[in-house]
Amino acid sequence: MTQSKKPLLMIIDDNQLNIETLTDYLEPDYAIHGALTGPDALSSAPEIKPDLILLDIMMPFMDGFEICRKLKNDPVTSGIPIIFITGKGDEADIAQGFEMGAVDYITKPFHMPEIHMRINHHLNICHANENIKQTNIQLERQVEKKNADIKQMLCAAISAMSQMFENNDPSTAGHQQRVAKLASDIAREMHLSDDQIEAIRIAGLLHDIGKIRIPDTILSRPGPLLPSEYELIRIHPQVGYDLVKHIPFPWPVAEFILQHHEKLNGSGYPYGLKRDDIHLESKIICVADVAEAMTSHRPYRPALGIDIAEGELLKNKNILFDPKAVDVCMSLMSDNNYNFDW
Amino acid sequence: MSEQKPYVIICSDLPETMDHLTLSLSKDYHLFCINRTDVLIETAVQKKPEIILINVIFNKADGIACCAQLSGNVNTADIPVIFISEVFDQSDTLAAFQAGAADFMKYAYHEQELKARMENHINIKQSREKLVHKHQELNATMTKENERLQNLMIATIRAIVQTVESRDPYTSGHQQRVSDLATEIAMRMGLDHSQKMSIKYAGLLHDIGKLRVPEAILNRPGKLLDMEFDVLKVHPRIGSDILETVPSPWPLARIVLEHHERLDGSGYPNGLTDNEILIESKVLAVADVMEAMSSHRPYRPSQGVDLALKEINSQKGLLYDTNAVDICTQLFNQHDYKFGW
Repeated sequence: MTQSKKPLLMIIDDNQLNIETLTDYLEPDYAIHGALTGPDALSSAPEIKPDLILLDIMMPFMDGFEICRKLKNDPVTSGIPIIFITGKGDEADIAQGFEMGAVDYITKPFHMPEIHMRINHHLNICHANENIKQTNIQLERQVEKKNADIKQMLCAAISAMSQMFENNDPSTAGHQQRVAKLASDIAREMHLSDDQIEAIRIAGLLHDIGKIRIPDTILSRPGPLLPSEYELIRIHPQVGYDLVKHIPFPWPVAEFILQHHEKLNGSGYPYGLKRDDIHLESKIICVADVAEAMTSHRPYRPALGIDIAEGELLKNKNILFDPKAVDVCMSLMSDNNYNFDW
Repeated sequence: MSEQKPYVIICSDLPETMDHLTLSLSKDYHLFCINRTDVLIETAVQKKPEIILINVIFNKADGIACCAQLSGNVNTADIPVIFISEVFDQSDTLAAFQAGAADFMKYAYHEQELKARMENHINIKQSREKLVHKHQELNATMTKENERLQNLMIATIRAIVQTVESRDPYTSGHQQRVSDLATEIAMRMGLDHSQKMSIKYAGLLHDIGKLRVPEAILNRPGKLLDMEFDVLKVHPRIGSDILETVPSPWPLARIVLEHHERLDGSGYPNGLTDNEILIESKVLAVADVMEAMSSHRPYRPSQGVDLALKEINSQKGLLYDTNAVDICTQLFNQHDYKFGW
């Protein structure tokens, strides 16, 4: 259907003379393909894909209505406009023709210039529609691409922030990744929705980002911290919240980060929230955070091991930590070869 | 037919035919009947009908002229027109189609045929409208998504900047001021919009790689040892690595990587020379040096704008882009440019 080429008309008529008469008149403006029978027309139409079909009705073997029905039922040809051109001019026939999906119905006496105008009218409409359809398809692809870009952008935001933190604090390098992995595994075992699991993974990847504000000397200090140093560390959930809150995640990731040090009995920080006031997502990250921290090596101490981690979780189950998350976490880790890596 | 009857205008100069059409169509359509062609356009613009029937016996030429007006008017061009006339000869019919008519039939009393033709043209019009509607929706979605992506990118950049600021407030204020000055220089150099945006955002981010540099080196008073300076020199690479993952329409990672390159190849990390360095990076370099020298630091007081101008002018064309230096100098000397705080 290129614009430079003449539009292709298919004329279906059992009378060769009718085809020739039409062809003589229309040939300067259109390419013509004639078909003398229904079967002939039906076999060639899907191949040559005419821009418009002129269809006689009274024909042996298969009449025009039947041909029309078959063309309209085939997805390859259903979009081709059909104009009935026939001596059969009863109102009922005309109505039936339109009902079957024809765009026009021309009856005797035939007047060639008028036929030409009618064909032209419908070709123009079709051409305009086809243009919009093509543009719409392109737009749909672009929208899809934009959506993918937005997803990629969010991933990039997460990875850039996470990288920045790791660059700053190599002593806990990989901690956020491993917590994200363990927390989302726990969430999956707890049968949370895919959406929640993804949110937990992201919040896990960023949960300690606020530590960027804490001086290296406190962060990586071996041995116990002074109370005021410890107080300083406790700003990190709030700082993390402030850093992440303007990134338009589809979930309240910033709040999950803010609450990851809250404890069930209200002894956590920064707000001392209790049980139902804490996001489940944060409770899960909290458990994963403790489990990962205790089983990992730190510059200021070697790994404490799974047994001590489990002891700690068990002792404080339902006091500090969400009991369900603790159970699931322990069963995951008791697998012995639980793999923190992705 | 949907809940609401489709609007139809009937324009007829023969009262009997009008009565007949009204009788046969009023059950299925909401009719507006007029008997003069001169108010047809106005009525069509006002009522926005799905279809117009023109039945002219005495005023054939007027009817056809009116149809031409309808097709020529953007507000009515999409409304199909059916002519109904017993007295049209072949040339009238042709003229009607040439005027943009969608259809012609002879007898108004062929009710079944008329309704079939009307429905056909209404269907054609409505499927076209569906396509157009979808097109508009898609365009609106595109605009919205573009905005979302833009906002997301800016939010990401802001979050990154804020993260750096959390640790090192000096760097952050510095980045903001360098970004402002470099953008101003770029504007006066006549760089295009996309280049200005690149410079603005690369300016805001150019030192994020300093996260990797220990505070003890970063904020050290006095001259750094060579080995300490080598550590400091990693920051363009680290910054560029972080930005590499952030999709953006601008070469932010490359500009950040190149902002310590110098024209004569004496810069770092790659010792690039003049033509190998992006103009965006060169502009940023000038603004960076200007700001760094004229600002107070925890480890030294400000060296003053004049000394900074002297430095960039003495190295003009050697280390720093000539045009950028000239424009920067003009900004301070003639336009009274001041760093914001």
